[in-house]
Amino acid sequence: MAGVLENNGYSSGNTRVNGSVHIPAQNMAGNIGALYNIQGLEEALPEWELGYTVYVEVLQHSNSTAKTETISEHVLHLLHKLGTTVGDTKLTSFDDHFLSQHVISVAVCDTELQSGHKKTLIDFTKSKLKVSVFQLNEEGPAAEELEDEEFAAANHWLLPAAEIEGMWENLIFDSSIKLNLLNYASTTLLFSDAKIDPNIISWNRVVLLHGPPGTGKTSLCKALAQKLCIRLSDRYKYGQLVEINSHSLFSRWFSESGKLVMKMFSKIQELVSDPDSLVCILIDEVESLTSARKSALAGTEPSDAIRVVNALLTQIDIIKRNPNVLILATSNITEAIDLAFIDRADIKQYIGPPSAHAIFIIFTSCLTELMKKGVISPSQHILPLDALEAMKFKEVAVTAPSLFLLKIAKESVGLSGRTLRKLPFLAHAMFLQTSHVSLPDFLTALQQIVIKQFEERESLSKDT
Amino acid sequence: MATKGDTGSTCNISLNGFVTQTIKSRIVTEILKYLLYHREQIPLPFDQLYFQYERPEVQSNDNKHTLFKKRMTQLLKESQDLFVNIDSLFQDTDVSHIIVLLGSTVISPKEVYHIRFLNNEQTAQTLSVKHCVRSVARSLITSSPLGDSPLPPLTNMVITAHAPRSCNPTWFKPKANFKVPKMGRHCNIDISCGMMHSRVSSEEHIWMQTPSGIKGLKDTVSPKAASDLWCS
Repeated sequence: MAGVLENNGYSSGNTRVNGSVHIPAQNMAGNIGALYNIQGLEEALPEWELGYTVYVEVLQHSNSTAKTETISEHVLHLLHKLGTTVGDTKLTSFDDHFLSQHVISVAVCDTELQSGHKKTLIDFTKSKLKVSVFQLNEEGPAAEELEDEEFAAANHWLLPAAEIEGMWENLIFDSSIKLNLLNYASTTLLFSDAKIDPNIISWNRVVLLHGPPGTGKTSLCKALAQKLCIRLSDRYKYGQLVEINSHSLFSRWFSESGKLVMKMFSKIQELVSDPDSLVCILIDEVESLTSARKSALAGTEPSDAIRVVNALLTQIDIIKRNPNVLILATSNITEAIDLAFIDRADIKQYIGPPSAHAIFIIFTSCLTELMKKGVISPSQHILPLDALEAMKFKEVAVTAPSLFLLKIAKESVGLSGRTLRKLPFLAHAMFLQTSHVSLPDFLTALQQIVIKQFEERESLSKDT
Repeated sequence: MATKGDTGSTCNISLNGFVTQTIKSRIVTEILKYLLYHREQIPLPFDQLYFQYERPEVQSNDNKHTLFKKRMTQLLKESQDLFVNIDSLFQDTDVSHIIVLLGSTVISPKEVYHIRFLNNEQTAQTLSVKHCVRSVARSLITSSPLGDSPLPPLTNMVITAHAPRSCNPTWFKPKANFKVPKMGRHCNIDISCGMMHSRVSSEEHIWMQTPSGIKGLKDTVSPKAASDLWCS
């Protein structure tokens, strides 16, 4: 049987079909260079620093009753047999009968984050491996009501949730935002575990992500919560994500809003009191709950709003005493947030619109998906940026589409991530409308839609 | 919160005789139907609703309240699915403990019902389905274990069953990490009866959860729904 190995780069165009490489299983055990028809590639690649842990995430079939230990034993055996890999890798089919029965995918992940977007050669026999086995919850979010209130005050997700799976990999940022957040979380948990006196060294378990709309702040929060749950699955049995609906915490009764915040947090406190569960609290658009109290003093805000801010701040101080909680907040308008809240945030991360490089990766992933599903045919491989760089951006038949895409990516700097992800759709809807498109045609359409986006934006700004 | 740490009430039901797996699954089904109605998750007793909405001759006429009807039909269908799958789980393996969770998620339930089958080493007199279901219903109604507690809002009902690891469920999803929640109001329904000795007694048990819950539904369309029971 054949093994399927999905990898994002370093492969010559003709062996790749639809973004994955089909190779006979016996090759997998040996030389990974054979996989890409490039000999001696391993020596050219930077080595993985052995001090770091390699995280391996194993997605177990939702009907499987196999024990975690048994699965991780089999996975370790498989990886040792495999020997080495390059960069992030996802295995989806296995020789091992047990694994193919119980496991959907084995992913070696975040090695590229760790080494700064570079693909490194990882030797499984030498590196420290951490295998996390998880099953997805397919139930979706549940509405959590407060007592005596009719509407839902929060959405409650059990993690790892099927909806959030794959979100982390598809969020592309330039700087090391993702790595910073992961490291922040692991330090938080290390300090809590070491029982460091919070009166001497204090940390607030609050992360604030801010930036223009559509840059993936909320998605990043959700994906981070999911990631932490998977990585820490041996420490916490459950992961939970509580998404607070800020607006529902305001009451029509004067002075009731502060009490609603209290009720909400006492509900969360109940969830947190279980030491086996990791609770991530997501407060989206936090400025609505923590509007600057200064403006209220000027008389433009009712004093009820002040009470909400006060209640939230004190409740955060209470809930941060628990070792298993993390508060994630997002905002578009940082000026409107109360200074006391900003001060409580340990990480205040700005998330801006993606750069040309990130846009290039986003477009590549979009096009790969379209090729996989057969909308763009025949499928052609788009080279990653570092490969183009190695070829000194020389225009030949293989690199032509990739270079054209790079040009489009440079032209689209300034568009938000949300806009970028819908551009391939719009390009097809506006300019193509056929079920099979060739890659050059699609790229031309993509370029046209990018120009159109900027025109639309200009005309919108003219109106005002 | 007030509900936390509530030890809850217990309802002991004793059946003087031997029950088969089929009878057990029928008992569980009937308790579920009773709970759905008693905790006001459905507007009428389950079988009454079934009679009203699922009969083929009712389905065609009158186009009023189609959304409610659609939801109700959906609820009935999901419940039927659940009952069939509970039955097949009982046929396949040995289940001695079932938990019914009323609440938005399995870790934050409002009410928790433990249905347990205890072996009381009775004589091998086999009981009929009718007898068992009737005595269970009688005990539940007379002892009314949660009679005076406040009703939960319309919410989700999830069932988990403690079954051996080897049983390879197809419909139920194994949840190796499931832990009986401490939150909410707890109620034990202990049924002591004669049982066949467990087929696989020593093996490790894990919790199996239903893939989707049954969401409560309020009757918003017919104002005199409650009295229909007595009129018809």
